[in-house]
Amino acid sequence: MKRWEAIDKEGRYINEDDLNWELVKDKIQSLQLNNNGQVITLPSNMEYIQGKTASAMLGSDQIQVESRYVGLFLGNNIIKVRVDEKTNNISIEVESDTNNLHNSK
Amino acid sequence: MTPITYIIQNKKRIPINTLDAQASSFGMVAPLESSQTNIVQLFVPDVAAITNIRLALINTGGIVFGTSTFGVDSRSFIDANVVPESFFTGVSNKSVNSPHNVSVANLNRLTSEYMYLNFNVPIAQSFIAGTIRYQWFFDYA
Repeated sequence: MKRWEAIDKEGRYINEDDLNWELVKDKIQSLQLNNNGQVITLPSNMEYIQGKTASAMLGSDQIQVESRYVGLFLGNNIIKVRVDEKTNNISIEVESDTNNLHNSK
Repeated sequence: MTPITYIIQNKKRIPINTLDAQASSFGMVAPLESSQTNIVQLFVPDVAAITNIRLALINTGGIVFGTSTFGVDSRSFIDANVVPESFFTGVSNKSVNSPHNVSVANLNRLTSEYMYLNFNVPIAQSFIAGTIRYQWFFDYA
């Protein structure tokens, strides 16, 4: 089981299988990534981001998830914790919020 | 979630996987000539947004990279007269982090810009146009 899991601001447990991220992203107080039981938990009460990196052959209608991540906004940066789908390697990325995703939330 | 690659023909977007292989390839190309330019676009429905779109050349169809150039360019519009002025710097190892992947801007939340692709054929080089392959990479939430 690989999915993001969260606690909303009313204390309810929610996860990727239950709800669309767009509907809850501004209503959560903690976020974690469950990678087959290996749980990565981010600090509480931040503004969060999550997503997957996928690939698809040009012309194919099939995707392959390459990795998935959870992250948070910190100043003008986005901190992402990424887990590789095949190797389960974990990496931490710091990106400048050049697309101003923070303010577009 | 099903990604769709459109090929642009007569300014119409046609899902490339509904075309036969011949129609979606680059057709016949003579040595020392450039292929036709194919215009393609990525569309990923049923997600909130796609970001960090990249395009990789992963198979040259038998042409040794370096003896030929593989054009790749992007535009926010469709123009059959556009010929790519930029080129892939190498063949990707199918890794999202390959330095040979080309970054692609979004046209809107769910689509890439239009990508213009072609290649030049060196002399005395056999190739199979239908096996020239590209791969998309993208983030989605």
